[in-house]
Amino acid sequence: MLEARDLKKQFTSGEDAQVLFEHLDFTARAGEFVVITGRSGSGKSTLLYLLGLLDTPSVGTVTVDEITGSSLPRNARTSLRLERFGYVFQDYGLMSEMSALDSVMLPLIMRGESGARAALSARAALERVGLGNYTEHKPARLSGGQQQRVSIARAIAHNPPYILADEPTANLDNASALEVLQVFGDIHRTGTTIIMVTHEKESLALADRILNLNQGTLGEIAHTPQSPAQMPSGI
Amino acid sequence: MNTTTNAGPASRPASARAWNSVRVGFFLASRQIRANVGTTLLIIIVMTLTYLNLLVMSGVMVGIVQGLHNERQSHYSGDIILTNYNQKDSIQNSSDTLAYLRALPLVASFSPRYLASGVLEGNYAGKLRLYDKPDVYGVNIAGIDPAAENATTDFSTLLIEGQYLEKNDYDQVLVGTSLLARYKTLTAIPGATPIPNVSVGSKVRVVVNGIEREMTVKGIIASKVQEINLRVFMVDSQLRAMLGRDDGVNEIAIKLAPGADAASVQRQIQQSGIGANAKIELARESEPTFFEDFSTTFNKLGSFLGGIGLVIAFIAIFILVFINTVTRRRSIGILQAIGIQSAGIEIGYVVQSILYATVGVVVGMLVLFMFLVPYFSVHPIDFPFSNGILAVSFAEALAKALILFVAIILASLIPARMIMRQEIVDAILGR
Repeated sequence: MLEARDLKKQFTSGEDAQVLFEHLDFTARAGEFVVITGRSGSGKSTLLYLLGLLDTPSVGTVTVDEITGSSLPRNARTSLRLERFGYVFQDYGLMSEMSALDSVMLPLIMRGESGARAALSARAALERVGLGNYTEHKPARLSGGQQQRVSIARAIAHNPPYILADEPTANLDNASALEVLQVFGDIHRTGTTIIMVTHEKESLALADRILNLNQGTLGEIAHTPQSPAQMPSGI
Repeated sequence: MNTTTNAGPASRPASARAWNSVRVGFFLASRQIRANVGTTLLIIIVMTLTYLNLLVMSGVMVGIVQGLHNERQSHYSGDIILTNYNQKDSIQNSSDTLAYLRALPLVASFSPRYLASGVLEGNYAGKLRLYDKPDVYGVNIAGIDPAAENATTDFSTLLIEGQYLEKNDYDQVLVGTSLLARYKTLTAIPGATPIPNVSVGSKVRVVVNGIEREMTVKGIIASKVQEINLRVFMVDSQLRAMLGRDDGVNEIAIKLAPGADAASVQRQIQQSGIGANAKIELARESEPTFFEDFSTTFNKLGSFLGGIGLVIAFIAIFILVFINTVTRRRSIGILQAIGIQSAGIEIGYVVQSILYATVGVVVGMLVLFMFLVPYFSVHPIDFPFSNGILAVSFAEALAKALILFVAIILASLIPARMIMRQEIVDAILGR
């Protein structure tokens, strides 16, 4: 379970302090698909970064499977991210010098897998997102949708319990966005917890719960999740 | 999907994390190098030039003195030189000494020299009036056995004009360039006026021991060694006749067989009792004291210039890595976000820099020892006071490579570590 309690995030610039939100609680249960929406500047990406231990809260705690991640030292937090999270960024976050296979192998090597085993796992992850024939392609030779699927493969290759995605379809055309959402649908069906920040209506359809961050308050929007059969089918 | 169920970061020991960081570092470095072959080659060229700069600048400085030493040993002192003690006119029992040297198996050749002070005068035929100032120069006159001298010191190779002496060349001399106005040399004695209008074939007057003889200049000798350049050479039998001396050699230059240990031959000669009659010195020991002063000064200068080269190398790599990390700031943030330890990213930069330095050093060594050193050995740099070679030992090359490595590791680690201190979110969002 991923939990945040009494979160506050405040930005300080000189003598000015801006409180983005405070006293904010969040819980994502195992296997849930939670979508966080909100207007631009509402702090939804910041909340995602806090939940993913990429940023530290001004006040409050983030607990990952009963480990208080927000209070861990930097190296331990990095290790916890490696163990528990997969990240998907809006603009993919791929290294230009790395092939799709290299990008997916990297976190696996950091986890201690041998080169051969990491390559095997990475190929399997790329197969899962439909890029089995693109392993040696570098980002410059991939479309936006393909790059995002490489990013997803990198996030899921080590089978983390939590996938955090920040506007994963915002830079994609409709067709590519649909492909990416289908991949998320497949991942969710395997029991992985997904927390996604998005504006896209198609993404909302996949969610078990939709939370709206508005003026520092996180509220749940009434929503009927689609059954797996109604979700976009796998690629 | 099988989700991870371990206990989190505590489950991964620090040693495993460190080892995995090293592996990731190599992984990142190899991908960056492969993706930027052109840049990599350019940096390697810079590294090679930096390394050569470290060695060549000091090598030339040291080589100036080394070149002078080599020239003096090759053309004047030989491997060992015997000279008379200051309070004696000549080496006592010279004939016994020469006989002993003839019997020594490790002696390849030796050249006995007779020395005397004298006066060289030119242009006297045209100076008939009493108040005409004569063109004279107080000189050292050396009587040599031309064949023995040539076998020991390749003396004939110093000839720049005319011909070398032969055994029966009476009333013929070789003259050092410092004595003649036609040649501008740094080895002339301050205050003394070189003799004008004297060249090969000119008649000169030589005065030794009160005996004056008219002689012909047979050849001109040029060397960077002062002892040679300020001398007049004639065959030994004529000088002995002018001095009225049967025995009494002043110098014996000894050339040893290839591979012979000069110090042990020196000891052997010493133990034979010759040391009582002559100073027995290795080539290096017989050098004037200013050689050592030169050597010390040029070593310091070489180290200083090499130090500047090292600082330049440090700054070059620092800027290179700094620019790389700044331009890749977001990528570094992403790497940290997906769980790559900062140490792994830092190691990636250090590994790249070590690779640049390693290849640069290897290429530099190949260029240095396979091309530059042999080239300057055959074609020395013509300094006014020395034929400078490139004096670099392999041990020095290794030591400077080590220094370069330390500088390069620090130059890459510092900017990489600076960028790792950033907040991950700031890096990702470019704040």
